[in-house]
Amino acid sequence: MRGLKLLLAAVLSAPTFVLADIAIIVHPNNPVKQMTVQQVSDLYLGRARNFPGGEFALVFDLPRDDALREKFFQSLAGMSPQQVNAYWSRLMFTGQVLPPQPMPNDRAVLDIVRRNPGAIGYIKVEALDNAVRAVLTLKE
Amino acid sequence: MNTKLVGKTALLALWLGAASVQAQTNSNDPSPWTFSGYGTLGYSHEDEPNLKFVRDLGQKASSTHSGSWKTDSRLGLQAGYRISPQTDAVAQLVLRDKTDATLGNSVEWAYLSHRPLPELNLRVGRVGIDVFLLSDYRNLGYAQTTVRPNWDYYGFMPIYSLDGLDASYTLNTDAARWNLKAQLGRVEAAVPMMAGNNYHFVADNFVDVSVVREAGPWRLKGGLASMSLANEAPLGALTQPLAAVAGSGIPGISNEANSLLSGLRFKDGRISYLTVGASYDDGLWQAQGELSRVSGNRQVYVQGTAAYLNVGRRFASFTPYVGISAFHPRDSAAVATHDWATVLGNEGGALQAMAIGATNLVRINQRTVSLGMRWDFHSQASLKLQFDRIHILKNGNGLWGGNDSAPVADERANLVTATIDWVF
Repeated sequence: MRGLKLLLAAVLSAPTFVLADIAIIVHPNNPVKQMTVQQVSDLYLGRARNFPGGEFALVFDLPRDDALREKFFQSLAGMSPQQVNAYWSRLMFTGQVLPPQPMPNDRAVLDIVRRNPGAIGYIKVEALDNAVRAVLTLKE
Repeated sequence: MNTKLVGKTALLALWLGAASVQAQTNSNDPSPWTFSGYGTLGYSHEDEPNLKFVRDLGQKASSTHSGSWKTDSRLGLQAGYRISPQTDAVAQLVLRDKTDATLGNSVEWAYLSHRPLPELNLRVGRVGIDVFLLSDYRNLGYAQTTVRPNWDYYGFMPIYSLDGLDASYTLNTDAARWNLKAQLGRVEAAVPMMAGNNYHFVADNFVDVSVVREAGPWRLKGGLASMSLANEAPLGALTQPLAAVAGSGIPGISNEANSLLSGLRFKDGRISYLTVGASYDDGLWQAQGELSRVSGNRQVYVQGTAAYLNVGRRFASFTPYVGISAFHPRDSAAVATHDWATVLGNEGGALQAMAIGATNLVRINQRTVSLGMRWDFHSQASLKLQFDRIHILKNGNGLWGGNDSAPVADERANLVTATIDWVF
């Protein structure tokens, strides 16, 4: 019976990971322990340039056509890739703010956040390791 | 700031960039350079027999065709260099159809941007004018639902950039994000005048302030701008004989000539814009509207009240939309008050007609109903189709090109446009 419960628990909990929940990550030395959806949204939509504590944030993104990026902005702000691209093109081509730096994949995001105390990025939850801190997890 | 100074700013930015490249040691770090661009390939066709559609007053109308690929097509290339997390250098080249285009005046931006505080952004160099809701991205079709910024509202404005500086301050509150911005500098542009002449106008004292409030799906903006023109338009062939008639002492006619003459003086006249606008986008519905008053103290300037409202709804990748707009002139059209021909002969009559025509050259009185569809067929590209039904009221065809012949009486025109817009 205990084995069956464990099996059921595993089956029920597994899909949330299989569906690639998204972890928003910072450097472990970053004083920010947790962030809200609004705070992360402000950074990724160019509305804020700083962490809640006031430190300047280096924001890293994925390429425009990346599948994880599509899920990230859909979960974060309810925006489709077309809406995000149109929104950012307006900000970028009016010189208000340069968009987050795109990295080639989430491995590169993990690598740059590991090495940079001011960085913030997002990766699949299963790619998390102890060298970074998750400050928010987005459910798909 | 002249073109040379803008070039120097761009060179300085590149030099700073090159110096910083050497300082960059880790090959895994993201590049400080960003290269991006946008474009529109568009075709527009109208059925107005006497007039030609131009996107704004800075475009010269095709002399023969009612359809054009050039009017709405454009290509923008942007390079940015992140000198430090707080400092960027940005240059943008825009290739588009405009009067007397050169490589120098096609550099629409070339500036250094610095953020001494997270909330404060300072820019120096050539920057985009930012007064109206869409002022600084009128060229960027991909960021707009419609094929172009509303023509009744934006068509009179040939100025896109400013050589000088600006400062913006951002304030985030729990309820909203505020942005205050001020710009100061020199603007210049070329507009076609009568008889094939172009007017390269200059204003050394352009100043504007704007405030934006963003909260949820809403974006509200208010702006105020002012400038005075530093030079005269090339109307010497008209104003010299007009001055002679004004000084002739002929009862009635002399006064009329004097009045026309003072209305045609461009230099030192003041122009101001006052505008409020709002846009709404909740992911499903989107709406955008603006209201502005354009004022000036010369009769020949564009003056009046403009407004528009667009509403669209997304159905997956399709967004159908409708719009209404109007430009209503402040003053009545200039008309003849005396018969010059009987006193001064046919030449006098022709001079009077030409002076009145010049005074009414950019008088705008028209209304438009628009219907269109945007299709986002790719995550970075869209296809748009738009139909505009335009009612041009008597003596109100100032937005149209090819209009320095007889003014139109009261006409209706159909304008059809298809565009592909993309960013890269």
